Amino acid sequence: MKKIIVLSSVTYALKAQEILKSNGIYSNITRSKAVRSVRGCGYGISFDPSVSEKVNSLLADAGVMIVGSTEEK
Amino acid sequence: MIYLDNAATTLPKSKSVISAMSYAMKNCGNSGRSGHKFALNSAETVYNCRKKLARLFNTRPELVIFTSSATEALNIAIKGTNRVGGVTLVSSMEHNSVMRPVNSLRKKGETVMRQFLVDIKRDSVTCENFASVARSATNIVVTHASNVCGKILPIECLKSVAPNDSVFILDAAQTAGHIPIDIVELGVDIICVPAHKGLCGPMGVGALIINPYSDILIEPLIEGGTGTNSKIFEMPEEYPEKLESGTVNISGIAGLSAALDELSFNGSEYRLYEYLLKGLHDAVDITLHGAPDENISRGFVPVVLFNKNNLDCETVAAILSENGVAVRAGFHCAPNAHKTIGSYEIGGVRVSLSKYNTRRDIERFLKILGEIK
Repeated sequence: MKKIIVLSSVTYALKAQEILKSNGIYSNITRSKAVRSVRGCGYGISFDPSVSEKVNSLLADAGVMIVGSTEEK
Repeated sequence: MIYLDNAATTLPKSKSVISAMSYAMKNCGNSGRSGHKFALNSAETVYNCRKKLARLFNTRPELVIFTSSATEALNIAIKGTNRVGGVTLVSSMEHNSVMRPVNSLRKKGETVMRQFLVDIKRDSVTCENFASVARSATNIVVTHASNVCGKILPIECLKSVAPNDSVFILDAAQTAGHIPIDIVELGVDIICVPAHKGLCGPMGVGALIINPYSDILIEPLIEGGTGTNSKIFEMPEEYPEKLESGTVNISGIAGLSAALDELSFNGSEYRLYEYLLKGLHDAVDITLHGAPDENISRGFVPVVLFNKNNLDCETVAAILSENGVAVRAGFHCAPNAHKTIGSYEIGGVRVSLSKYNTRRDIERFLKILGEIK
């Protein structure tokens, strides 16, 4: 299972990925079905669900708005 | 050829710029449109360039909006922040990239245009002139440095007396890459820059840079696809996509990114500028317009306007071209700047330097110029 958060654009997806990387969290950029279900075309980042809380906190601190979140097998 | 027309565009473009553009043409898809490696490669290329520009101007990457030119950036800034019924204040040194969009708003009754006079020799007088008309200004659009004579305007001083609720737009077409610019320190809301002048990138790319502490709202001039929120017919609210619909110039942005890696402010072009100024001051048949009194380059970017006595400026430029020197003559799309410095009737020959010029370029130029009778 992967946790996916949806960002408003590829710019924010790349920014989020960079923030997570600098905090030791590995993530992937995705345009999966799960992302489409939240807002139509868009980008998200997928990561291990065990770090969800930390991810939310890091992105909130950096002013990165999370549009939605979902999970994918 | 001795290339002294760098205020129009710098030449040559470096090998790494050309190589980055070529790589992008072969390997970059459409940024922000897909999840395959070509599209993501492209998105990363664009984002990396955003980061570099954000570092250079002291803002956040998402507040760097790519455009096709500084002119497009200025049009978005001027028209996208205009307050109908307000007053737009411009300087007497503006390029038509400012004058024409502001005049267009004026003709439609959407703004009142006012102008303040720049004093080339005394910044304090420029500031007083600005202060005397700034009180009613809702939008202020000012060039950072004149494209005609290189004079840098006292932006900190102007900003300090501008109304707090006015929008302040800076046209940095001639300063970006020549002098360090910190948008937070200057306190302006928006800076517009081209890639291909002082930043030494390719033509076809510009940027609109937003102050991270500014709360201005910019409405898009162009609406269309952004690769996001496809089921919604409104533009996204978030920058940069709000102002960046349609495909950006990926290869141009890749070239700019490579150019930014090579950027430094080591003063080499200023040493040449001082040497050039001295040579022109010493020549008996040369009239300088809007240049420093002595060969001191402080307060200017390396641009000089002159006339050779009794010769038409276009004739001088043509003779220089025949002898292997590229300059630009005429009115440089900035008639009011020529009025301000006294060359409105005759125009002038503009020489503009870049980091690629050498002392030998200036020596040869002065020699060839001296031989024109």
